[in-house]
Amino acid sequence: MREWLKVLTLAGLVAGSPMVARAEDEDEAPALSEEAVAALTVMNNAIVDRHVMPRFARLAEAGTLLHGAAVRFRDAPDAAGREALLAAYAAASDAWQGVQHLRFGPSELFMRSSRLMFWPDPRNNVGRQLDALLAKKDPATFDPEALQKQSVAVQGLPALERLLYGDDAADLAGDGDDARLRRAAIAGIAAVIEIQARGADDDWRGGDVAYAKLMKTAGPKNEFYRTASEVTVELFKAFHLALEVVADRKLTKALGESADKARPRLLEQWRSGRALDNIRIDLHAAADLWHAGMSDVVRDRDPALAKEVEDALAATIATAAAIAPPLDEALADPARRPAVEHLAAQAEAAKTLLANRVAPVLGIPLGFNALDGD
Amino acid sequence: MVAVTRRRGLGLLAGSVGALFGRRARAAGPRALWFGTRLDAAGNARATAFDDQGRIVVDFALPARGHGVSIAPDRRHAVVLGRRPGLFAFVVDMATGEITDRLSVPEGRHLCGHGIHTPDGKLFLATETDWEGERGLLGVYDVASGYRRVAEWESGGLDPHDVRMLPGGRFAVVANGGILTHPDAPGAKLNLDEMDSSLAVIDVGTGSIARQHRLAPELFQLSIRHLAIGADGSAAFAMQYEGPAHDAVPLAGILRPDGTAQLLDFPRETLRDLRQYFGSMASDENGEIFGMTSPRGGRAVFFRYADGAFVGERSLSDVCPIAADPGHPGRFYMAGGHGGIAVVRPTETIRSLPGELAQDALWDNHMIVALPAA
Repeated sequence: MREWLKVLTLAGLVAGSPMVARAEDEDEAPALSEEAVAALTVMNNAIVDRHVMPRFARLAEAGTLLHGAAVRFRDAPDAAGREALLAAYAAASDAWQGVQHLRFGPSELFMRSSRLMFWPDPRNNVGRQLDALLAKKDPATFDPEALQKQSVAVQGLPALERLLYGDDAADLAGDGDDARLRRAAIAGIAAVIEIQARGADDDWRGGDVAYAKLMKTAGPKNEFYRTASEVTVELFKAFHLALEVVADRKLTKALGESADKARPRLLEQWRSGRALDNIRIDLHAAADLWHAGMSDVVRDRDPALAKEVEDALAATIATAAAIAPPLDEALADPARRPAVEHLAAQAEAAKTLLANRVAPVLGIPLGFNALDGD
Repeated sequence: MVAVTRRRGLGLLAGSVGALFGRRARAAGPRALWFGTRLDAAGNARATAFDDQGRIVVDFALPARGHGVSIAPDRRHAVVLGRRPGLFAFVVDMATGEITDRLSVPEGRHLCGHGIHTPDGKLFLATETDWEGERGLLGVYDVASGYRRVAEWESGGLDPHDVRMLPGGRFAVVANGGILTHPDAPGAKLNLDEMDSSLAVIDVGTGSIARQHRLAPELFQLSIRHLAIGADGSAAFAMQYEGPAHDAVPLAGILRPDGTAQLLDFPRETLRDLRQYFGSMASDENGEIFGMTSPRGGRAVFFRYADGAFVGERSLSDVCPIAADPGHPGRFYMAGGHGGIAVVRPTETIRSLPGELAQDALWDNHMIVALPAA
């Protein structure tokens, strides 16, 4: 067992019951052929190398640039520095969106994904926790070491967004104690974002975790992935999630039941107006993962299905591209709203296609029950 | 003690079952049905009841994916609920298969997918969410007046999901999932008010919470979601873990009638295969064994109420719906999201149902036994 594996032993796990044989069911799917396993291995490795690794490298780089811009603005606040900081925030946000669907392994460790993007936040955790920290009026509260021990809600992009785009953002460059405190908070949060982003990238590339290697060396001795299929399951879930967030999580609640019941403040990052960009990035990430390796395998086995997936992805991306920002206004505008509803419906259809048709072709057991939750 | 409410509601007295559903009686006498929701080959959502040969008996279209089903104590009608956030619940005449009514869910309230009739047949209790107020509720519907909503009770937590009646008909038990947002970090400060999964025992005479049971703080990322009731009045509960994939945490437990709770020991390899997720559960005919399904692992596991012992496991791709096999203690029907309906006991797959429905339908989340009206 790897050192960083945190095993909770509260249940007193039993080592296996000799009374109950793990008999293979008669109706269980037959084991994959050697060729099929080899194809999955090639696919998995290609997705890790071409899709996953470059994206985490970009996230780490964006984190470093964000931290740098935040420190410069803290120390010498001016209008140009503020512009640079907002641009760095946007770039870091985009880089995060590019990996938000890869929510396993390094993103899961230390709750990195929740630290980087605590959302949705229906009970206003970010606002409440941030206000509580600011109320201490002590810049040391936001030292990265101290901040990492606080609620995850105040450690990521949503907390930074509050400071950069919230009601009190106008005076950020001022001389007063409050402006200084807020700049310290910005720099501290940006530092933690860099730490998490670098940490995820490092864990993918090497060190104790070396998650890319782990995913490429499935086998009986691998504690995480015993077979190539298990790696495929992980990557397939990420593919599905990139569509699921568009089909449901990022649009449904904000859309509400009708234009007059739209709730645009349930959009992701509505303060900085990034919700539509985020959705576009999510959809492009899905297409990128598909093209990085999965499309070849599916095309070999079922060309018509591969074409259906291509078409579904392209159509969904086109719909998202055609929606004129800002998204929050489109939700409440009876004329523009149908395009947003159409986008959610297309993403829903695409993810259903993955769960019900593509998963069986890849020989993995995930269907809509596994992927959509309850 | 045979007074398990759900079973009593179904008129399932242990002594009479063999006579009614024994081999000789089955051909001529009334047949048991299994009632669940599914997608057909074209991707349309339907609610369907089938017999032990996989033949369709009741079947109608739904406006969107369905979720839970509750059979009224008179066995003449049933309620089919929509998948959360649910906006529909239909009342179905079991003799004609026609929709006779629908629940009037008020604005601002959304169904959470499960509901249960009280054993006297007078009330139907549905788990609901108040989105604005971020509260979990039990919506109370008066059956005699066409399922008019007559009250709402606090469920005692966020995100209530399954609800069942305890023996005696006085108390309902609700699984409050409790995790609406990303939970806070274990290493960071815990905000216990944000992690609030619990079992609430609600007095249906008064609508007040009689008792509430929570997990230990270390298990804060576990979400209690589904319930099954044993003959002895125990409530078995199945959970989902929102934390890292490789933590080993207990995924189920039993709340005893005396108020003590036991978390279950799983064989280690089995626990790993369940992938931190259960999607459905059911008791067997006699209320002595319960089965829990993990679509993510394509696996069903079975435990004994009496001592909480693991008694076996079965495999089926994307398995989720599970229900008892009336007349056959220890046996279950289970169905998969990639198709397939299997009759199993914990250590043996007895048969797979034949026919088009069993082969092609994609089974969604839950099914329940529907016995013919007396």
